[in-house]
Amino acid sequence: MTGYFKQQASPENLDDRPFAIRHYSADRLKDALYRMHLIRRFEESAEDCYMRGLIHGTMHLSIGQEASAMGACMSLTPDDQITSTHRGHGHCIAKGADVARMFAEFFGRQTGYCKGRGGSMHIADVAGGNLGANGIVAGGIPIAVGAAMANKRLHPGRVVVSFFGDGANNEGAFHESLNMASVWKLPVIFVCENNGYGMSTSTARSTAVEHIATRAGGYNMPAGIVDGNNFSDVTEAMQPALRRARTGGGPSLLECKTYRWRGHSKSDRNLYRTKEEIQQWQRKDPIARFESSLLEYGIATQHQIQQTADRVEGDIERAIDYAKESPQPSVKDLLKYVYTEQQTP
Amino acid sequence: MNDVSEISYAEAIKDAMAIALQADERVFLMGEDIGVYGGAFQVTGDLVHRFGEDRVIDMPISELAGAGVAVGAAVNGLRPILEFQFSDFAALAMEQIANQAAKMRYMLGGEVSVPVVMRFPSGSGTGAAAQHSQSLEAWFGHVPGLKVVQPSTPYDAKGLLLAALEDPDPVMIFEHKLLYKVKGEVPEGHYTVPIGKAAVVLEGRDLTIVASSIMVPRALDAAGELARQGVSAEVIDLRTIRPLDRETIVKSVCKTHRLLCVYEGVKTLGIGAEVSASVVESEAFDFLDAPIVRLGGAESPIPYNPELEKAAVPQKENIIDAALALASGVR
Amino acid sequence: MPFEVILPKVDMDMTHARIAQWYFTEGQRVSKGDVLFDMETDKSMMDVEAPATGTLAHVSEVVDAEISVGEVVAWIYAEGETVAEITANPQTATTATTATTAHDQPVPTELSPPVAHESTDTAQQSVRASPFARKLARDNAIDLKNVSGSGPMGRIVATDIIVRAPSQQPTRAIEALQHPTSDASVENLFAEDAFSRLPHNAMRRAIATRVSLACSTVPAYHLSVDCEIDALLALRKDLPVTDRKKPSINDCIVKALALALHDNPQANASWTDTAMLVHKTVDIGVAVALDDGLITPLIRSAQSLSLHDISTEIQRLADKARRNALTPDEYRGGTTTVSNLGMFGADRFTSIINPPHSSIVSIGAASERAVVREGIIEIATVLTATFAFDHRVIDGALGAQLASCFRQCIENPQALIDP
Repeated sequence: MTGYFKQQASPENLDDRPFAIRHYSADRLKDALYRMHLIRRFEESAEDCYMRGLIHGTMHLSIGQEASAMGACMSLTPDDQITSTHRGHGHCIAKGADVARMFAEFFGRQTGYCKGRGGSMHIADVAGGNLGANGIVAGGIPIAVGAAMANKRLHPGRVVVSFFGDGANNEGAFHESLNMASVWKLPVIFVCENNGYGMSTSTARSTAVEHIATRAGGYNMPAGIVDGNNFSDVTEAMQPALRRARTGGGPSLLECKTYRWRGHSKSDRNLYRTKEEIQQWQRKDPIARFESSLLEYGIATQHQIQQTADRVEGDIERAIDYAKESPQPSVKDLLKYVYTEQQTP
Repeated sequence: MNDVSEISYAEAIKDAMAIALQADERVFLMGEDIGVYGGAFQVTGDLVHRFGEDRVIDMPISELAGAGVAVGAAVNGLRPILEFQFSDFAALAMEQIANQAAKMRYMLGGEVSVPVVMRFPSGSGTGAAAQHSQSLEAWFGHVPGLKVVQPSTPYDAKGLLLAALEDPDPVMIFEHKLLYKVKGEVPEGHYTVPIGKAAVVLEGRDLTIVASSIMVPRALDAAGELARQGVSAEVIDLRTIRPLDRETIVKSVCKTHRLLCVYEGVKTLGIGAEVSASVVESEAFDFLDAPIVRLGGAESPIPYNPELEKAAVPQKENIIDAALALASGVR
Repeated sequence: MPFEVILPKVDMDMTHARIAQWYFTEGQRVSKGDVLFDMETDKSMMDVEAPATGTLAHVSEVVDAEISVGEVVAWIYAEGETVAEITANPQTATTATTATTAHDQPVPTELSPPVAHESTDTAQQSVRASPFARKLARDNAIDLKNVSGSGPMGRIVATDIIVRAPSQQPTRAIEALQHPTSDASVENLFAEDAFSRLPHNAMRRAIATRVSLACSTVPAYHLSVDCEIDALLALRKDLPVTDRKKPSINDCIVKALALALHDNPQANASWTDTAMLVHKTVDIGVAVALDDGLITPLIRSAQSLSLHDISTEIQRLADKARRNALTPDEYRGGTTTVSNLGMFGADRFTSIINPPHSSIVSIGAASERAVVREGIIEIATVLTATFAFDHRVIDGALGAQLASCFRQCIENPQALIDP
């Protein structure tokens, strides 16, 4: 099954470099690295702010999963759309969001993407094509199908990527949605970020099949499994799915095997997994692996990588400052946005 | 003025959908067996032949995803009308309705609107028993972000549906199954009935009967009998239960001093509770001359046996008895 | 909360009753539905049942004395409701400071609900009254403590206040007053199959409204005169035969009344709040009986019409009235009315003035009667005309003068046919 998405290196050129190195320009690859760093540092900083009591509520960190978010979004156009999950910061940044407005949202400010009404769990960037993270497991999947249905009619060629976790694969909404998208051949790509645990319950204990990609068979759609910590593999696996969606072929399912370094949420005490397991996955850090690859194929120098990291550091600092200085929403606007404001005649 | 014809409630709804399908390419219908079958209650009828399978879409029996697809399509610029085969099946779709459709605009800080219309054939009286006969509108009425309407006449059924299609937010339409065949005067062509406005359908002096859906014709029947017995009842058709038109109710109660709420949904924590509370919270409190009376559905599932089924929801006789007791000072 | 036991209203017009006998005593356990006491009303003896289950307390010792409807005569405490709850309240504390349980207490002379009330304000609140009744009481400065409630459980409702309110009741309050005469209240007094219902039509409602208004607002007095009509009958007999119908006695009466009012213009007037409207013409209403009611079309400017013209006009209007074809111009306004029931054999009767009229004349049947003239009994044909006058407009002397003038015209009928 994995073979479906894995393309062979072109025999004529005998080019055996990874797909991403072959496919994208150096600038785009460096930008991808910047965004992956941005995701990592955004989440680390958000976690820091949370621990200092500057951020309300809770948050679900995707540290360790940056390659799947960035890889899945790499070939999307600004007009393509995504639906995201409660662990959605990475998707949002990968789709091009401004971290300053994201921090502003985390700080509950009026300048945030959701004007302080959504917070981490509903982070969105509608103008940038992110229809929003979702607090309900599998909640975004049917919406992605509907969005794809509208795109098929109104904007042929646009695709919707629906991110979800392994936990969602046991929700009815997942199965109903895959079936419907397949019956109607809708331009949607289901991207499962399988990090091994639905909160504390492992896929082994919760899911009857070993690979979530297997579910696709029941809905007559192509599927693939990739190393979700390998940026290039993810981008490569996305290509046939995108082609199929853009040309009216219908949906595909891609399963990215990955791992979250942090707990489910901030209240997680990690009682269900071992330190060794976490360390083992940390050795497969997607950012470090991408950097090695860029160095190996001469796309970037160590110096440039350091510069990227430094740039991210400055951007994060400025973003936090922006958020802190942003105005709070007014309590008198509590009811604003419940309904669409209509002009009274 | 448009020509007026005498058509049924179901035909009026179909007429509204046909007008919308004709006028706006973005409008489409989705539901179970709404295509060649014509819908479980024959509301969509032959629309699939007139507008094609791309506009009148038979969907898999997947209420949850169906609702979500409608939400996603609405967010992305289409105008879906989703038909549930029975309102009871909304329970399967509640996640998408209550957590997504209703909240999406708010959660996203006003960045999107969700102009989805959902139609729910509801109510008892058909012998369909507990899982196909409920009146669940109060569930939906409890969710900010949704608008909930309950037309009681063919005229309102068409006008409210066309208003729902012009509304930028999710509108839940609860149609009563027993009303589908009821005929009434309906103008041809496009017109709307405003969402959020109740109607005083009968003016009266001695008490106010606030009713919704099928309880409106029942209340009007009762009011006729009450008039013969010397009691003058004012009848208000709520038409919309969210947002509730408190002003019309309060004004009427200030005039009549007595309030009887009649609704088919389960009495406890139902529409009548909200209507009653709205009255006692308002200036109408000082004008009440008797306790408020609620007539609602029984605290039981809807039973199958016809006599039990009848007893489970207010009937005309119950309305007459309650109104007489209220107006004559027995209560 | 303890449950109150009240003296219930069981009859529409019942205001008081007596307790003939208690079946339970202070502190006894009662179950809902147990007969608590016998109540004796003007009409009957009735069982009164316990409205709740619990322990009886504060039993009124008033036996065989008049008690107002709605008055609390005992309380029932639910299981576990300690009587200490009551003794803790200031009201009880002031009446019996050493109390430990209510059972030890003498029954207060005036039973009060077991809730705290220290001031008039809170006392006002502890009375059972509808919000609307409270508002009316506030607006009219009426103390609810002095009002007995006619509603269920002795609740004071709007009508209980309206009957005490000085003035300026809102229209709907007056309407509320009419509730006791609602169909249901009246029908309840009769067996279900003892009557048939004929719903009111518009005319019946209009008549009811008009006469009710007149009766409740016009201070009327009555005055009768016997008129001998032999001369009138002879004159009528001698009238030349023409193509026109001979005027009737009733036509003559209308003409006579027109002349009388013309000669007494102060009586041809209407009352308003601030003025007397003295009318320039005499417009006489003639009551026409219809199958389902009556209507009074007007003979306009009757003072300047000949007897024949009056006759023709009355005929025309009566025909039109029976066809239900009168226009408002033909019955609106007017200054007086003639009502003639002589043809039905009524000797004398009174009528209700129809505002804005200030008088109405009721004509009885003409009959041969013995009259005494200069000490000799003779037989004459006599009819009795009974005037009703609005005293606000027409005082006794003026009324008598008008009646006398009317009689003169009838008894000296030449004036009726003179041009």
